[in-house]
Amino acid sequence: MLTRREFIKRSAALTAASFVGMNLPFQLDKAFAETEADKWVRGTCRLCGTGCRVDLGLKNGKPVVIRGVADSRTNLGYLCMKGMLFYKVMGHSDRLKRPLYRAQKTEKFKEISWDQALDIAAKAFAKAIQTHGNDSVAYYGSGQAQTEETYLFQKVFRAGLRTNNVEGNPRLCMASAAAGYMTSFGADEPIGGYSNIEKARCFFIIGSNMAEAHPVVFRRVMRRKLDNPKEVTVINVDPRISPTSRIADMHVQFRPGTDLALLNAMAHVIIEEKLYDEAFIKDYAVFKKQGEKGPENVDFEAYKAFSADYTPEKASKICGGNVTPDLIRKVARAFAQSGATVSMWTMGLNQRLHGVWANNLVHNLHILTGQLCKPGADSLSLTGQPNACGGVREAGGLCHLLPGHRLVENEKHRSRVEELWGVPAGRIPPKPGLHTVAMFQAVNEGKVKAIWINCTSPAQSLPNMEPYRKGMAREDVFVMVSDIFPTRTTELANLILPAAFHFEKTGVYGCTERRSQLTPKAVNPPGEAKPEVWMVREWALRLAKELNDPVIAKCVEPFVGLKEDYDLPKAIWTEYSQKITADQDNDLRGATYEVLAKMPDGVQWPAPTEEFALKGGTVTKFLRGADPMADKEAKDDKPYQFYGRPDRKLYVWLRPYKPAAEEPDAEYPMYLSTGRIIDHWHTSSMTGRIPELMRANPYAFVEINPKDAQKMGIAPNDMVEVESRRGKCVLPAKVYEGPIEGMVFVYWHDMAEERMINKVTKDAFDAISKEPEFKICACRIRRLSGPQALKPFVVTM
Amino acid sequence: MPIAGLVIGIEPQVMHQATQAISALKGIEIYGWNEDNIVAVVESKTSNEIELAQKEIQRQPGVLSVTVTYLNVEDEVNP
Repeated sequence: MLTRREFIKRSAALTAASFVGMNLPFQLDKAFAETEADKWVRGTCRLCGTGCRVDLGLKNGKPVVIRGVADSRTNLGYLCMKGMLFYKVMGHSDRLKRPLYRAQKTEKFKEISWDQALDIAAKAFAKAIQTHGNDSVAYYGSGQAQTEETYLFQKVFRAGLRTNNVEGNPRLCMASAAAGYMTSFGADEPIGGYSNIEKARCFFIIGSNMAEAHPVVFRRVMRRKLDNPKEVTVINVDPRISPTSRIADMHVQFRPGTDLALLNAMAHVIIEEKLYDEAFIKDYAVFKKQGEKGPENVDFEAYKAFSADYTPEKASKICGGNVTPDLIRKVARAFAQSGATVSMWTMGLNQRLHGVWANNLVHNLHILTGQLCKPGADSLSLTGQPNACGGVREAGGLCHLLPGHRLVENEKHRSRVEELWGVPAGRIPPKPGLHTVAMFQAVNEGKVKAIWINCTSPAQSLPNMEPYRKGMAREDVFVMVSDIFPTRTTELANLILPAAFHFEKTGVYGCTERRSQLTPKAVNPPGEAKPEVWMVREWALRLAKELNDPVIAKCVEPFVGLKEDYDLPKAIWTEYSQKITADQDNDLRGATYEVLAKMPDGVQWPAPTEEFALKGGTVTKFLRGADPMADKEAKDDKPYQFYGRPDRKLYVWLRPYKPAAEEPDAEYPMYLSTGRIIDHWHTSSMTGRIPELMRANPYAFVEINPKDAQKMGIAPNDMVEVESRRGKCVLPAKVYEGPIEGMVFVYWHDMAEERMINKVTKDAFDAISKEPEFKICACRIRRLSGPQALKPFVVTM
Repeated sequence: MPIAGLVIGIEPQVMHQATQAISALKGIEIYGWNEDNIVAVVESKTSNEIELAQKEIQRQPGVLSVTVTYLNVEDEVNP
């Protein structure tokens, strides 16, 4: 078995050998036990939102290797280390194998049978509903759950249990991007996709360290740049110098949160120097501001007057860092004049008090310069999780959404969904449920009495986590968790249900670029672990009896008696894709399981027919000739039909610069920001158990700018306390020309008690998207000691 | 720990001596050779040491050129 180091050495040798046309006695894919695998099963990577296609290699039925799929239009055969190694999760000894239960959270867990577990779960939820009402129960799911799972959960909760307390962890990462697309374009998700990378002449990478967070997409950007060094400009906008900054022609480093001023100043330059696309604006744009009573139309002159205030000189003062008026002008010109600019961003813009505004401001630049729907031009929000789009945003996994990109508050949408589900009118409550922070605050207050947490660990991933951990630990709140490994959240559960992992069950993931891809079951899950779709069905049937409510059973009626490994998820996908998405903007009727199984990669919606789906689906939305909905919804003969709205327009929003929720002050004089590193995924419940990945990154660090470190007498690896008004952590220091002076950056994956940085972060959230501002809060740091021997840590039973 | 892939150009007549000399150097692993090139991988503690290794290889008999064709560098914490 190859170690990571050995793999890199062989890569080095192979690259050198290819220069001189030399054949070496090994090939990398053979090194990865190709000769050992006797069967290959094609699926999608379990980790980030890129959507790499993989082949899982089995030997005697056991997973032994993963390789990339060369024909895939997402990863082109490449994988990162997490993608290559996640098969090691499957046979891991820490896997949860049997349901576990304790009546009191202070007791030890006991193994119970599935019958007992499902009875307990049904009784607990029934009791809560009967005693405290329908909204005393909740579901908190995940952007890593398969679409079939999220869809079935939300169907049972909404139409069965009659609550819209359906949420998921994409509230913490993508809600601002979704709301940004909705407010700017009238429709969620990107217009284009990765195919624009190879045609772009300018990359505007803001609020993203894609070299580590989306390494395989970054590889395409890097390749494009390195192959065309003079023709392609890379602009990286980040308060931190990251590995992504290494390929940047211009790195813009600013005080956290001031990017709102920067983006407005860029628009200022574009207007002042007449770099905007007048025809595009005339045909496709309207200007909007948020008035007292709601959105108001304004004209281009009003927008110009608004932008006039954000001179490069003014913005440069607000931004600090290396942001000179000259740099702003250079960046704006490069953006506007390339003719093919792709913007990419993730959490730096989304996890903000004004995350939706930040998204709008990037879309503004594309609308003003007409850089949408054209080859190489796109405003492409990179999705963090593998199925935040497909499952949660598209299939109704947030408290205000219904499946098929519908809204809870829209009566016609509710009626339509009730009709399609065959449930009585009025079953779905008319108001959105509790968004994530509100949901867990309700747990804290004992207002939510029973919660099902699936495939995520909010006890570690919520900002300002300590009060929420205390809340989940309440004895009067029934907490049930379905997962594959013990986590900080299973530690607070009454009932733990062992879940099947990726490739141990069949289901669909929808990635960043509107692409749905199927991963079939390849191996059995360990012990008695079950797919979540089976759990929901069995639980719903019991709940229907407990509450004497046949409509709950009706929600799962089409799926009763189906075998859980394939037929059950297929039936759920069929109902969702054929009935729910029909004629919606995420039309997936062409993407049947049979079609998805034929594709080397998957299908981009809208894909209303199988014929169109087999060609790959819609590469560019709103473009006539490329998007069947654009043709169908065309109101005139313009080439772009922005059918998200009746007026077929895109909105340029007047959004001001406003500071973060908590800025540094005398008591807490530094900015704290947090993020991921390449080898660890989220709370490291998976990657922390893969030896190669854990060895490379055994614990989290706090990155400190060398000037700050010098002032405070902090040397590399010194132990440093990072403290805010909410809590503190102790971490080893990495002194690094990374974060801007006055800011520290902490990796958030570490589960060790003293290193979970969400104890320190703040749970202020965007008023529109309800997404918390993980990226900015105020802290102070102090040196505690010299280097200490540290132990890597993951939660075990 | 940086890892570099190297192509080393060698005078064809002295290939045998060159491979012997280079494989004796610390931190350098030969992966293959043909008539006039050796493919090797250097592993070291710092990027500076990669450069020193390059110079050391250059000094060996029969070596015409040393080219780094692949470099993997994890972030180095400045001591």
